[in-house]
Amino acid sequence: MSGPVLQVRDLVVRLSSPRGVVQAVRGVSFDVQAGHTHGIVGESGSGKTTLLRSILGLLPGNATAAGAISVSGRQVPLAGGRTKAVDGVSIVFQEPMTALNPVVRVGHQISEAPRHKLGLGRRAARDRALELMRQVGIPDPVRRFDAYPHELSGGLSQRVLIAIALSAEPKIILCDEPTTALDVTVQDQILKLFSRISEETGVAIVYVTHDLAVVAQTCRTVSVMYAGQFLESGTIDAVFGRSRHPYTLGLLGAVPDVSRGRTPLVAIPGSPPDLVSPGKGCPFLPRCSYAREECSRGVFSLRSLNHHQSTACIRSDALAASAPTAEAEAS
Amino acid sequence: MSTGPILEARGLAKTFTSRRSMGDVILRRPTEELQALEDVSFQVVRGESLGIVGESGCGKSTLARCLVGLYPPTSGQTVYEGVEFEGKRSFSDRKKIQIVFQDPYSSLNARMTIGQALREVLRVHKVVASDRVAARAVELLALVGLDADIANVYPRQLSGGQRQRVNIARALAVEPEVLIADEPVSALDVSIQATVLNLLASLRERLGLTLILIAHDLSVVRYLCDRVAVMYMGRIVEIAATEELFEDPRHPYTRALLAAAPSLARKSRDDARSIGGDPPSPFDLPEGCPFHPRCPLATDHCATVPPPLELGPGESAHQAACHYAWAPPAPNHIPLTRGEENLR
Repeated sequence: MSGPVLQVRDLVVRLSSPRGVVQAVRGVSFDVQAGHTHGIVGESGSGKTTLLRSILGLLPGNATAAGAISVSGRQVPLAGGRTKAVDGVSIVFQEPMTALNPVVRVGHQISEAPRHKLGLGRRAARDRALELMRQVGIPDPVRRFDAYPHELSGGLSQRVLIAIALSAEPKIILCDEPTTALDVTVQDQILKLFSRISEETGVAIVYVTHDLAVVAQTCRTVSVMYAGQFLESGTIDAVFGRSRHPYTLGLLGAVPDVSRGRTPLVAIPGSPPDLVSPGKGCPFLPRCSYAREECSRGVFSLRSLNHHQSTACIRSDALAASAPTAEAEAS
Repeated sequence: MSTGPILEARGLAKTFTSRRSMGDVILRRPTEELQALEDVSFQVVRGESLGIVGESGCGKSTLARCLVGLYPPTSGQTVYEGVEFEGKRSFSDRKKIQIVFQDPYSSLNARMTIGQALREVLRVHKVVASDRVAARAVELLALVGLDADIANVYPRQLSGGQRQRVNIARALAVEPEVLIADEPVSALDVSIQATVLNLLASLRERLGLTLILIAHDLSVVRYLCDRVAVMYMGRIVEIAATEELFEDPRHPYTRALLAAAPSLARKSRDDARSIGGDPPSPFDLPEGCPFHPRCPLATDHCATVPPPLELGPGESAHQAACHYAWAPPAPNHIPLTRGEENLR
């Protein structure tokens, strides 16, 4: 196999707003290989959505960006205000109901890309759409082809969106919280569908969510995003089992888990920094219980601990010595 | 103090009728009825916390609103300390059960400061003497872990977690015995959820509150509740002590919910227990057991006879509404086969 499908290098995105310049993404780099699923976890305002828009080549008009993104070797234009997504990248949104056009039959929405992007004829595009509907597990596709979005349940609408995402034969599918609006039993079905699709088609998936457990069950690797930066990256086992960043540890201790009884939850004190003036040093510093004086100086970017894991915490050695909690949970 | 249950639902049912357009009336189309709750009965003892879980549309929020008195039930009663609530609730009745809603952004008046909102409740309900109102408002803020200066601030200046604390303070202003929390953390960021959950746990302990927690998230319920009721299509399908329900679920729907819930601690997916299909339309419920079209255990018996919510054979008060919760299907019942498409 030849290199990663997606390469993001030192991406910096600034958004001008009435309050000042928001530093939405501050130096993010990562790769995703074909057929792999990479998770990005972060809370609201961490820059996840701006990062996804950069990969699509759809930064808003008030954005200025630096760095480089390439999709199968081709550069993604980072100018703000573009209206056409780059070829080879599709996205699945959170709200299936609002992402579909309510007055166009779902079959036509799925066959749009095959007709216009791949240049198929009407008949061939219809056949392709039916095949995609079958592939994403929509029962009775011939009948559903002529349905309008309001006639479908949330789970079925999300399957339609996934079919649309697949219709232009992408190299990468970006998922922006695709199951947050769905019920757990339906979420489970959709997550399985994503695994099957990436196995069958070799498409790379970037899965963005705030739900750690969803990432743990669908992704191979994960990055933890906070204040526009990646604070920790690595394989699921490494990051969730032997985390070397206080923010990841904080998140793991703050969420209840179905398989865990009443282990007390410890909230992370404080709130994320304002990205108009994020301050110097480690972005997590004001909320961190491991912080030392040296944390307030310098630039914090990911450095590799081993080939499974990298962290932005300069005190990761001290953390390793004093953080038995995650270890105990993983066992 | 009475030893009986503080709150009891007796056969609560709620039917909504769809709005009829002029055309529907002229053409004499029948009104569509949506059975949001059907024969829901349970008891809550003082100081207990009961979790109610289920997927969207299962009736859990309707149940909360019926218990608080926001919706009149179609039939059945809410019984408080052995006395039925009848008709419209009196002022003093309403004080006993309070509710905290899901969305902390829309449940506060944007044009009132936090202090004004709290003082209004205290004055209207005459909770304390008028010269004590301002001081009590500050005490309430302290109770939920907020500073006194929050009183002078408008809701838009607060974070979601802070607003949800204000909502809890406002619900507690009238000194209720029972607090119903309807999805109190689902609109909050993950790192904030813990603060609100821990606040609810500590308030329960400090004030001896009885808590009914409504959630779609099983992990939240497992963290906070002594007992859990699982709802599906307007009915309680299983109710048991929390640990028992999570360790030994008897209803196939509960098993499916547990198998589908993503978890950090469990690596492998429990494919054997997960289910396909979508919940049925509440306008058009299947006959017999409402879960039978998705159920891996369903037989022809399930398709005709709705199973009652029954106690299990054990010592504990574990109830499940499944014909086969404690006994395998009798040989004369034929397993139903479902279309393969449902199982993908």
